[in-house]
Amino acid sequence: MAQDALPTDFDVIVLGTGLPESIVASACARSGLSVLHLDSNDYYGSTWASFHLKSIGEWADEQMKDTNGTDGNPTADFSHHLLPGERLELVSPARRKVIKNVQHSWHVENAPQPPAAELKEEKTTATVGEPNDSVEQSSTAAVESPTVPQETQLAPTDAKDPQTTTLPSAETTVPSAETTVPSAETAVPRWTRDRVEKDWRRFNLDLAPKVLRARGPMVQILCQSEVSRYAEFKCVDRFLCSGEHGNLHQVPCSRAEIFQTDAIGVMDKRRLMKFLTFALNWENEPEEYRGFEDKPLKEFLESKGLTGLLQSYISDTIASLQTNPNTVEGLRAVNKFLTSVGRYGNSPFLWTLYGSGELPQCFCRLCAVYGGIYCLRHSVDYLIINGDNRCTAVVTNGQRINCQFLIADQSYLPEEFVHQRKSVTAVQRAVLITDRPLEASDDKEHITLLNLANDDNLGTVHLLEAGFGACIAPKDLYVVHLTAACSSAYNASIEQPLSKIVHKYFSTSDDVTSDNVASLANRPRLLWILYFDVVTEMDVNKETIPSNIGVVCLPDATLDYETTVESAKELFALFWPDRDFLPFALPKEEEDEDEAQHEDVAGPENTQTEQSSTADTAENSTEHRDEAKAESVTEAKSE
Amino acid sequence: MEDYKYLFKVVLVGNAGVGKTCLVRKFTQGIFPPGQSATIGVDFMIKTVKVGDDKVKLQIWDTAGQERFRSITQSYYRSAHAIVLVYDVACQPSFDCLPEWLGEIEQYANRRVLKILVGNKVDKGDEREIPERIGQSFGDANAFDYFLETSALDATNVDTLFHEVATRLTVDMKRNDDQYDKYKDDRGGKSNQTVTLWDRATTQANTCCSKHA
Repeated sequence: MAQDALPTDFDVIVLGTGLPESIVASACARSGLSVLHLDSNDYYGSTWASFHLKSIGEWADEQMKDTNGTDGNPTADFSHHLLPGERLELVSPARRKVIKNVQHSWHVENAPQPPAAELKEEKTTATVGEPNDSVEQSSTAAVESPTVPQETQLAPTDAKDPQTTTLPSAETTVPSAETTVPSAETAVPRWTRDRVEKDWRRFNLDLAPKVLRARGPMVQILCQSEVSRYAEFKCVDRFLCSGEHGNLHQVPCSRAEIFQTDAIGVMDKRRLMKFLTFALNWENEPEEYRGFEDKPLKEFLESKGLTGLLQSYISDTIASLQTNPNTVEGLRAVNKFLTSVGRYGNSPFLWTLYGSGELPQCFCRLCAVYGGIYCLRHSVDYLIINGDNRCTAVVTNGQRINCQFLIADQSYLPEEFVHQRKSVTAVQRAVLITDRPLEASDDKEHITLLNLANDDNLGTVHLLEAGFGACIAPKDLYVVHLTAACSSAYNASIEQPLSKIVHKYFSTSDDVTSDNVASLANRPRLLWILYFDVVTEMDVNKETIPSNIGVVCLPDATLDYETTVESAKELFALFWPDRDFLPFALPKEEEDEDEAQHEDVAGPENTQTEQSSTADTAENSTEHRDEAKAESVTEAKSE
Repeated sequence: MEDYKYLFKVVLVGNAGVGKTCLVRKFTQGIFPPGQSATIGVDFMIKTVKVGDDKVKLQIWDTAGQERFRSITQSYYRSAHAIVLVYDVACQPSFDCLPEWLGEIEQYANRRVLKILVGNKVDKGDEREIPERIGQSFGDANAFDYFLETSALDATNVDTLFHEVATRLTVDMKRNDDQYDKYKDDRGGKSNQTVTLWDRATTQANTCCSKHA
């Protein structure tokens, strides 16, 4: 923690620790270039970060601050740093905030009893160091018991929904039957704000949630660079789609699931299987879709007798990598989905444990392992540009540091190098904390993906839901991410368009007058919500920007990392065409003692659950590991 | 094919220059790397130790130099079974920074992680600035599971340190195993599978990828 002075010369200086710039930084260091990686924030990830519950509140408040003033403009004179022919360009990231329209709110109250009692409870449990389970139980009791009798009576029905009282008597018997069951076991715990906040550090809330496609470029670079050893993943194991009446259906994705499902009839199963078999080999059977190439996928599906729910399965879920695809795009997307199934289990997608904000950090670690120097909390005041319009150095903390190349996200660019976009684009985001999963059909915890295609005017909205098992929430709580692209008519002043979806699928305390009372009872209860937009207002001005500055992209609304990785790859290839992008690590004969069966590291908090499944994990994964091994071997040889 | 009962992730933290890398190298390779300024190219090292009749593998992670400007990634702390916080007994500032490190551990590491406090460089004799009892009482006051003074230079307590880590983790894990047998019945087993992308073909050969080696 002693602050050494920074070295004064680097091949590459990278500003911002978002995902694409971190990938580029790691590729540079891996390739032998000297890298200095700076970030003005005190956290990794920039607009790709994950936060726990405390720090995301701080983050949100920071974003909402009025930044019109010329805050933090350096007043000192830096002209003595300049060589002949050089000039200073002011960097003021605060003035080009890309996060807009931030709102966050709680939808549950604090527990009614005096907080002193709970503080005591917390202290005793902390020193005992019991597993979370029993802590939860005991503190629940403490919260619940002192409340007024009226409240406790309400509690069980309230957990389901207050609406039940307005239902006809025949229906009320259902929830009342449930109330006789011991509440500690089955009833959804009644959450209070302080109970949720107490576990603040167990949340990992993403600014840019994405999944990894098993055969996509992210998995590939993770494996070949061995960055994969810094992270763990789980399959996205449940796919939902929205049916005709807005009901949610579970989508069968594998052969076995299709045969098992009760949702569709035998004929439909046959049609679905036939289509999926065709899609695996679609490029070789052009006669199948002749005439439909440029027409919407929907029309092609109808011509094959795939209508209703089947069509939703295919167009909303399996072709989820595309928005409103034509037939060719759609088939390509279906093919991508299907070919990724099976590599890591029955799902094409993987979720990063502890949140998507882990990935930039993992690439940063690789960069550091290969000598990259890391400085958070280092804002850059000026870029130094020479007479040939090349960026020769940056000024940070009053120090001049020279560089051959500069990589930055757009918020670090001086005004002169950007211009206002004609059409502003935005990614609209909502992050929710809820008390139970959507459409809970079994006791298993899932990582769920739901695409709400063409919901009103929003375009495709991706919904990702995960919980404790994905290491992003405490036990019994769930985090839901909504992501939508808003292209042409972005207007920050209108009410959050995503709130419509939130109100449709989740119940809030203000929802009492909702029309669909029956379905309301099963909807997850919204406890906390954050809305924000990631707005791209500026484009790089290609005429003025120095040729040795590379600008990386902001998180987009796509579901997986394909566009991000490709853009990082392109940038690297542009500046260093002769160097390999994150090549395979060379095997070293260091210690050959490690011929072990499985090396999966499980965190202590997961260990209990992990241990038993190790056996079948190993069994299941032997196949795809061998496959990966074979792949890497062949690719390594071809180099 | 080697058999081992457990694999534990042990991470080292502490100020730059307190000798974290030297401790790991001394333990895993038996060497004291002379004149090393900052850690480059060291990811983690693996060493198998015996705890009773069990073989236990320690995967010991180094900071990759990110501590120099206090920029350790949070992901470094994830899934760690033990954290070894190191200071230099001959360097007061490295001791004064311990509360900052503790703050980071508190935020990002698992709450039940094994916490070890280590005062390194006891070979420095006269130059010592932190008496052993000061280190011990800091360890006691801040709920460290174990405190120890070491020297990577003359090997004092280096093996003891890591054997102690391995033993405590093993004992803890065995107790959990028993608990777990009851626990697993309540949960859908399969839904908790973790996927490790880590390609084993290259992993084994690369337990330490050192640029210089």
